Amino acid sequence: MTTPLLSVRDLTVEFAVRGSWQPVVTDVSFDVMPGQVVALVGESGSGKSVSCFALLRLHGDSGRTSRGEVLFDGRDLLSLSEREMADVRGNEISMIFQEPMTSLNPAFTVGSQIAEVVRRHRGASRAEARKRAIEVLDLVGIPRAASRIGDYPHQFSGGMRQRVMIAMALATDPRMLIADEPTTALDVTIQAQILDLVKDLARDFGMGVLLVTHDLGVVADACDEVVVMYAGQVVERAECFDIFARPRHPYTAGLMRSLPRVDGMGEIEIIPGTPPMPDQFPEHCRFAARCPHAVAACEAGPVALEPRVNGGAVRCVRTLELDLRRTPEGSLA
Amino acid sequence: MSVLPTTRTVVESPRRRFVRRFTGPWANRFALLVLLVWLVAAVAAPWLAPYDPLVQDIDARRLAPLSDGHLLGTDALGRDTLSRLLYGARVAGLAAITSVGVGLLGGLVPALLAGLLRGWWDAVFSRIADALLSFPPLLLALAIVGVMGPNLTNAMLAIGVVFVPRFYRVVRAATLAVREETFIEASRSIGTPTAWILRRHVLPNVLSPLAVQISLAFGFAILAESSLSFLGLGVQPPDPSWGSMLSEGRAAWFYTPWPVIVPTVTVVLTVLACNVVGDGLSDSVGREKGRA
Amino acid sequence: MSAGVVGRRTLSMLGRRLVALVPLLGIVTLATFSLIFLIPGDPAHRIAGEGATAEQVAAVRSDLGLDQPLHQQFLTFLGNLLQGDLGTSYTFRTPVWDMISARMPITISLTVVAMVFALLIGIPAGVLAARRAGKWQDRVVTVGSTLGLATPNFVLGLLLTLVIGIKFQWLPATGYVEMAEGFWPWLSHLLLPGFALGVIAAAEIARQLRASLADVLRQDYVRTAVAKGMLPGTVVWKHGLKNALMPVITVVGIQTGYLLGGTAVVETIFGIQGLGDFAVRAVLAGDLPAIQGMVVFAVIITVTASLVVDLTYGYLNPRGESQ
Repeated sequence: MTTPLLSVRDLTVEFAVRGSWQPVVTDVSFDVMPGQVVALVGESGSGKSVSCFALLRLHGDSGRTSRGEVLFDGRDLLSLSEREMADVRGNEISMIFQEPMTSLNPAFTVGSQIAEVVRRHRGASRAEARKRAIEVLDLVGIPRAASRIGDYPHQFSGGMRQRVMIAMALATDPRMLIADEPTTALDVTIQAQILDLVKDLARDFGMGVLLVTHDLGVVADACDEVVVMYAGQVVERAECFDIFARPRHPYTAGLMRSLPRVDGMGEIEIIPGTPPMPDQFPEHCRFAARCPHAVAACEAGPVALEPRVNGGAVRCVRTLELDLRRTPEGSLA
Repeated sequence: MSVLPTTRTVVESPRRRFVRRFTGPWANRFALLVLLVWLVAAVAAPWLAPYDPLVQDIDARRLAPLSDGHLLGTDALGRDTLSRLLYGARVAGLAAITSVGVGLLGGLVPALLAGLLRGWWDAVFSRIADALLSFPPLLLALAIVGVMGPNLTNAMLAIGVVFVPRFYRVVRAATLAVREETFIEASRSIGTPTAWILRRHVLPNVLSPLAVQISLAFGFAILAESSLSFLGLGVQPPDPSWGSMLSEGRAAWFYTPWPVIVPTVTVVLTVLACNVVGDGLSDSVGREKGRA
Repeated sequence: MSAGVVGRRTLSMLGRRLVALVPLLGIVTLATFSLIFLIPGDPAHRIAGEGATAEQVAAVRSDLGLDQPLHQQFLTFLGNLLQGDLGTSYTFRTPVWDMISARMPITISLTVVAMVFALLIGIPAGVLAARRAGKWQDRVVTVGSTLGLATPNFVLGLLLTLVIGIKFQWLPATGYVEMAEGFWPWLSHLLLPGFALGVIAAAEIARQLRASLADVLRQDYVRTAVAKGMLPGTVVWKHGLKNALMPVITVVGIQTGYLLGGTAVVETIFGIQGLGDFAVRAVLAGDLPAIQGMVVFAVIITVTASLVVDLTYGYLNPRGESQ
């Protein structure tokens, strides 16, 4: 197989909480291959957004990456200078955000906001940048793109604004796109359109995509690989079809049971309780307190991320004993 | 509230919370101290002043501070700087209180009427306030002093007129905001008289933004009084005011800088204290919010 | 399409503002006219001066139209005003408008220099404080601006002229030289008074900008700008500043009026014979037409400034939400 485009190794991110550094994300590792869509899944507070902000070093002064590597094409992004990092952002790796309503600058036209990136990274002339802006707006499906580049963000709907964000992210032909919950703020039909767009772009341009979401429906639709995070750790990582067919971590299984089924079979169950706060992360399995399958062994000590049956990795001491398939015969015993 | 007396120690009362927040920063405590010192100085000037501020002592001219019984030295005419400073505090304090009083008198009642009754009252008063606001403040004061004649009383009145539209705006906005709250609606619907609503609900809510404006106005009043007196349009010589002390001291600056330096520091420090108290008040009142 | 819309919206906004100005100017005119009632005793007597004879007082009375009914007096005042006739100064024995137009360039030069100082100091200071919010740079700017706000024009002016002008003689301590005599002579005479006049505005601008920019820099779109690889300078000065500037522009508008008032003090200290000096002389002499003329002139300037501010809003905030 080809070498990964992005390889995250043991990423640990800490935030300042009341004067001391608390690890919010611990030892996160995963790869993204060119042309592959990798989903980063978890409840809010699981550290998935923090992880992807840390990839581009976008957490402010209150956060720091204390350990790990972010290898992009073999280069460790964490060791770059601020200036070199700025050359990577929006150029080789682009990012789109959760809130299309507030992520565009209200004081500039969408055309100028797109053209700005092209000029910054490609050294394009004003006219070239403008032409490119029209091109990408057209590419993401904004009707009459040429006449709309003079419009301001407030003249677009939420879905259209997210398309503008994507256009802006794509304007420099990045090799990698990080999308932080790009569809949560949008309604369902628009969600599907945006996801299809991202999927097509990954396939057509060989772009690696890291898609952060808490919505497993999105994952099933659009992704090749799934990385499940809980309380700042990766708990399971596998190929998309396989993880849906047979989750090997109780948390993954719990997430799936909270998803309505297409065939209407089975009941929707919400995982009881809430994830722990960073300053309350236990030494042992972090999910044990909410896990329906927890036994004494789960609280004996730290649980390592081990190779998983059928590929990938899982962090559970009981993974080989449990059958977590969401089928009548595999139901909770 | 006496039903559950024990909860009072658990839940901080708004007043205590305000005091805690206001007295937190050292700058606020310092500013308050400065203003208290000047308040005492202004009230007790006749007893505190070691000399008559008007008496000229030919043998004790241009003395440096700490010499010969003159704590802050003397000016070119041999007048005791400390005594003049203390009497100047009197003038500054009087000017501040009178002009703020004039401003309140002229601004408060129309604002309450406009805020509570809306409609025609609001339209008329607000247009007048807008018009007054379009005059540059110091020029408006100058014009009034010019027409009425240059003396301290007129200067204070003129500065007060400057405050009228500013107090009006603050109080009107606060009244409007309170009016929108449901408890006023409820109060009205059960037929509570307007005067009662004013006293019970509106005034307490208007008080905090107004307190902020008043302390800032004190600063501006002291600044304006000293400016007008400096120009010879306020306190008339030989009476002492911080502004006139500066303007008299400037001629002899080369021989004795002290009569200039002392009132300079005084004016800056006092206006600073007013502004700090104003900012401190506006940070401390109202609902708890996360500090950036 | 958008340019046309923005242009049209700006125009209609301007139109609405102009219409709203009519009652305002009416009240201002009435207030200015009413200044005469503030004169204690008989206005004619007061204006004619202490030792005036009965004939002189009578002449003044008929000259000012004080013997006519009130409404007639007001209409005459208004009519003259609309024709640009502000009356004749009693102390200078010259039409007020001539006095004002002769001195206007001086005061405008001074005010512009002061505003340039205010912007050159206030904007970088505010940006610095916002970028380093909570750090020592922020604290230095906060302390500096608090101190600046508390320093009266005349105190600072006096210190500048005494220390820099007279003691060290680095810059002219007094007077004014027209620009026709050279740019540097003109500017050098305006540096000290301009600085003395502009410091309060600078402090106000720095404070306001710090508050609004610190808020803007926390917005999602600023994060977007960083994420697309914009350099820190571009992020702050382009993406941040344009959004943070609205409250600053408001301050600039308000400060224009304050600067105009401040010229009275500053021109007196620096011996500059501009409008501020004219106003102080008029006030000292109780010269009613001159005072009224000054007031009208000042209101025109401040109203114009607030119109310009409104037009700037349209540029800074394309959404055109009224503030």
